[in-house]
Amino acid sequence: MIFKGCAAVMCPPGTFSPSGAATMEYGCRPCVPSDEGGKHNPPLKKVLGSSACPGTNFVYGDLNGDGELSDREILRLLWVYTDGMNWGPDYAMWGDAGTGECLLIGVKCSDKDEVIEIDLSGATLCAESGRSSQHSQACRGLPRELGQLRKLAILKLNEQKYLRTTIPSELGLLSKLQHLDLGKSPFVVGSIPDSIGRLSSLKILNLARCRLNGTIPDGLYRLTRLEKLYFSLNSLSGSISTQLGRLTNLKEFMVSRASISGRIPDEVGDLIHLENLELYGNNLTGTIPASIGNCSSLRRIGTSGRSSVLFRDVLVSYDSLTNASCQTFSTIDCLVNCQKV
Amino acid sequence: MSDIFNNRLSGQLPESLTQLVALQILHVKSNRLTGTIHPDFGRLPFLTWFDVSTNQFHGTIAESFGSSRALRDFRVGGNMIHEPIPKSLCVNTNINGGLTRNYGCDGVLCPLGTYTEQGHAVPPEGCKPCPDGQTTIYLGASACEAITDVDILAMYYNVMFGTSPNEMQRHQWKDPEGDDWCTWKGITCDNNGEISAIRFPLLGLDDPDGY
Repeated sequence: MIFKGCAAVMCPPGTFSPSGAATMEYGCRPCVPSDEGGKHNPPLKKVLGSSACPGTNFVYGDLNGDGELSDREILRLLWVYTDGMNWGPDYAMWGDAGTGECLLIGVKCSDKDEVIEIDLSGATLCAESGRSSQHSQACRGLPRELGQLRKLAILKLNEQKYLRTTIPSELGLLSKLQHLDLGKSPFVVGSIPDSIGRLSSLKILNLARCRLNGTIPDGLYRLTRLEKLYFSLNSLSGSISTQLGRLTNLKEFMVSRASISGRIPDEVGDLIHLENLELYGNNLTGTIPASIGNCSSLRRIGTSGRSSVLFRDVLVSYDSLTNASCQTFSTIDCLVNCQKV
Repeated sequence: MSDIFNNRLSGQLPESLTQLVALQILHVKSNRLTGTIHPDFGRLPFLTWFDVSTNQFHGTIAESFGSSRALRDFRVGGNMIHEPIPKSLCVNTNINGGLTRNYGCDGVLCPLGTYTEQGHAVPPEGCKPCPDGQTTIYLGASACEAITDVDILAMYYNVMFGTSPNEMQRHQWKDPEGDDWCTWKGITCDNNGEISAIRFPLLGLDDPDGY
């Protein structure tokens, strides 16, 4: 049951919500009899717009009043929190709570109709607040309830130009998550939560080109299944832990222009599957560990100190050798590369 | 982003890196790396992009780089490299965007007395001659400098004792960036503090009069 109509003004008798009415984010919840005698309930039965009900908890985001958050209700919260009305024309159904979650553009479900993938890279989250350049109430960032999508394997919210959010620590509850991508979203702020270390299935973590600060949390080094890590172009601090050696499945370690300091730990030599090591443009000191010679799969080492050379972008031009990609940067190195076209 | 710092990695390029047979790119530009450039890097079969520019490497470029078939970018400017450059590199038109086609060896490293920001010839003018009164000491310079007496002493220091501090101490030579070179053993200055004589006791050139 989705509350509509009059409930949006005042909750019907025998129901309640924190604001006394149904909103975009939650409905009115029926009062649950707190004891057999029903002593506490009768007064509410004739009252409209109750904001509390003794003995009955309210679950934020609960649209149908069943006291639980379904996957659909969580997705609806995400839609409300990030100005879903302006995501784009393909995403109109997200606002209609009557449309099942597996029918929504950007959502994929398992055979058991469990949400296993959210890919909103085609939507424009928080578009209105971005255009008006004011911190709109319409953009409250990612809801922490996302952490309750327990079967989620892929979460892609990359290239969101306007999405202003922190990374909720509750995302650490997503124990099935294999791929988390918030890359190229310049208003993803705050620190990387230590709870990220609880994403025990994670293989790909892309937080590059965000606006993250703080250190690389120790929790990260518990992600022993991690294969690709992208932290480049952030304002991090601190150094790379010697625990790096625990990430033995790592193939790509890209932490360039991320303001990190300290030494490259000798344990980098334990990463025997490492193919790509990019650490250019940081404040690293010390020596290049000889143990890197153990990384027999290594194809690329980029530890340049020069921050003005966008190593990765140059690589793009290098691989594709198109003039178009060369227009994005201006170093002579690039021009020289382009001459090979 | 304004709070970006350069890496300041020091020490040598570990020789173990030459064992990485899959290596395609080694890009360690703009650090403070020292030592020589190991010839085995030139033998890595897939090494395409080798950029060790703007460090403190010394010595020569090994012939092996000239024989590489994979090499496309070879950036070694801004170090302390001296002659000779392998002829095979100077005629390898695969490297550095074919700069060697027009510029020969200059497409690898600018010759003495010339410079470019990259340390190799860049169109349209190629390697630029140093301004009057300035020159370069090494190949592939990114800037020219005025060479003073004490710079020449520093070169002597580097060539003779450079990696051997013990030798330095034994002969009481101090940091060539210091300003009291007149007191170094073997150095004689005139009344103006200008170096008037150098004696080379190790080479048997010792002249008891200091001239």
